[in-house]
Amino acid sequence: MTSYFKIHDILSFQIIDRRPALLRKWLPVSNRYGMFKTAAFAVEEADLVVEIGQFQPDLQDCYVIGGEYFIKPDYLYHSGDHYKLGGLYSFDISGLNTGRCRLRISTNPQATPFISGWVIDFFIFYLLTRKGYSLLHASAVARNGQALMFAGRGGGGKTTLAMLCMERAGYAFLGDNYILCKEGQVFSYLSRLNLFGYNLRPEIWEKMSAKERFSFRLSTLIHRMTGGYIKIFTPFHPMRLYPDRICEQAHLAKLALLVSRGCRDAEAVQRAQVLASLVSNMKLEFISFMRHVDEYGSVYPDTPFAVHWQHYQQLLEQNLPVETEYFLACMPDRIHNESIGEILDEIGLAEMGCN
Amino acid sequence: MNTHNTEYYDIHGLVTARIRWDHYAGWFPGINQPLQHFRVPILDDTPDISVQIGAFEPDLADCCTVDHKYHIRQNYLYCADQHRSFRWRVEIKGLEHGPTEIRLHIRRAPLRYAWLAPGMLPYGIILRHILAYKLHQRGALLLHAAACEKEGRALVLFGGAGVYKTTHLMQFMRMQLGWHYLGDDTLIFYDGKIYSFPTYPAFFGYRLKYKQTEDLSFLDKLILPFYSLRTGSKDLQIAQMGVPDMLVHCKMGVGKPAHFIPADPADSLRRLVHTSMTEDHSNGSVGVNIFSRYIEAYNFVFPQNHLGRRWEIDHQTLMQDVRHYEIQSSEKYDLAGMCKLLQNMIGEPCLACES
Repeated sequence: MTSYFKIHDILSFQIIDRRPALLRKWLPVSNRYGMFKTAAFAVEEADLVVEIGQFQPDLQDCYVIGGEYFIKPDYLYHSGDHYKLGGLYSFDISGLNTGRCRLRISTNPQATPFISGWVIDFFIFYLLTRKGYSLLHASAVARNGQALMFAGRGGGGKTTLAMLCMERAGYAFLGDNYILCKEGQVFSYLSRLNLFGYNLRPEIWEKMSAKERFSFRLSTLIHRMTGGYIKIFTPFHPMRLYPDRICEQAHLAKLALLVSRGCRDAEAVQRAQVLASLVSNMKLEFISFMRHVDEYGSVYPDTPFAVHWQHYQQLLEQNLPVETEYFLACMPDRIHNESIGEILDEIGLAEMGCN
Repeated sequence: MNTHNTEYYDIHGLVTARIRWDHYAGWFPGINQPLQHFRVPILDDTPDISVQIGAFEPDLADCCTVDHKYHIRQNYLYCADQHRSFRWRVEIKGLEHGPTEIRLHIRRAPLRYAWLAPGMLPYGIILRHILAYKLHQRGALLLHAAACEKEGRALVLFGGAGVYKTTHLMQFMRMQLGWHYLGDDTLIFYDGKIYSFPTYPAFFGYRLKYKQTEDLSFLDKLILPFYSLRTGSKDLQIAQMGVPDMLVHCKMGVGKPAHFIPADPADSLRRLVHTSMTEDHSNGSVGVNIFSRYIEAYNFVFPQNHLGRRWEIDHQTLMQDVRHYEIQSSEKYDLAGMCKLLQNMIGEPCLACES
């Protein structure tokens, strides 16, 4: 079963699922990219072809490192990453240099929910970087063609701030988890919201179906009962909140870096500092790929894949304009509407304050 | 079994360390004191690194929270972490500068660690990284390489994990040419010289005495603790330091013919540093790159700090007037064939083969 996806007109990819029908139904992989779904196109046009299912890695003439990395020009096979509950997956990728990649992933059911976020997302990120687009771990909203971006780590308040802007000041939605940026232009990246206890907003709760509310409560319960070991996110399409307020593209006017801290203030900071934090933000998001990239680079230094992180850093320098206003927002430990009003005031969005 | 235990270490006069256990449970010093070789009865001054192992209360005042688990302020990090069946809490005071105080509470560990080798964990998770950074501050580098010494001249082997560095080293020491052991995993590069850094020398001693290659079977792993208890590293002559004479880049590949070629000096040194960086990003004993997560989280809050830039090294100054080689072996280690190859490379006949 093949599904086809396009991110704007920038990147096209297809996911070929070769697993048994029952697994495809119960543990879907491509749902995460539901909002990029498009009509069928030829394999040759795809920048990335993902195949899910058992595969035979091509090990002939590969250099071996640590018994788990098999590397030859253009090709990387990683023989196994363990995860919780006996989750195990392996993948191989070819076409690293050319930028037309074929990614094959073999996974057991326990690891299936994680492979899209960990493996596929990374290669989408890699290919977008190669095409000159910076992917940022951030949320963004826009009004009158001017975009406002909130970047930060999980639990920093990205979703909350974006939702508040939409609720109180009529901003349109660009994206919640990732945002694309090129030469000062922000492009929407409509991925699903991954809801968990800390980022649930009352307006989302209202729009949730009974089934979703049940699954949300159940995942909270499981999280508590297992002492934080198992954490299941409830997916939610942001389109459902304000279906008529989706923005495709806008100019980046303000970027606030959210750092959670006991204090409540926002201050203008140096652009260089924000850029450095954004790189760390992305590295933390794809931490296991730091090693994959390093291992490939130890055999083939200076290839596009080996210099991925350096390239990402340089691209940010080009794509985030100097004219943009940069802020550091120190978020309170517990996020309330009142405390957030003060932060929005500082960023220059006084009209959205609580008064 | 003593309950309170303090050990002092002095590493070549460059860095001093103290490890204190609240409840010491290790029966096998050979595998529980990785720095055993550097043990001293007492230290005169405050140690550069002090590690306290046992329950503690963190001091979280004014901390930023990243990803709901990293608590960070200037020069400080606390994290309650887990990975598969490991659970631990760690607090690092003096992360970036000043004397470093580490507090580690291992709440749960797999049985083989909890019973046999509790001392491996503090070293593997955190201590080796902090040690490398401290050495770096003193102008010394802790790099991933193996080496032996003869008459003050050192032969250094480097390469990723599992590329038969240790086996090559064993071959050299078996040739009866008077090579002495410096280290088979990490070495200190300081002032153009190489200083020994034997972690777990009993492991190497055992391999040299009973094994053909570095691979250990399950039975070997059972015997090793008892061997280390009885013999320790007495079988092994450990040299203090050597001036590098030959630097060999080891590679291993599937279906690759065994051969050696002279290597480009600049490229070789660069790869030595890159391999060590990769090793630093990985984490052998726990199977996940824990410390690089801590560093990235710290980088996110305090971008452009010293710790995050610790791998920006001028590798050309590491060593001069050294012969550079690259040696390649296939995935199956051919003892006799490789012995001939190594003889040709160093230009000396193997006395063990002739007799």
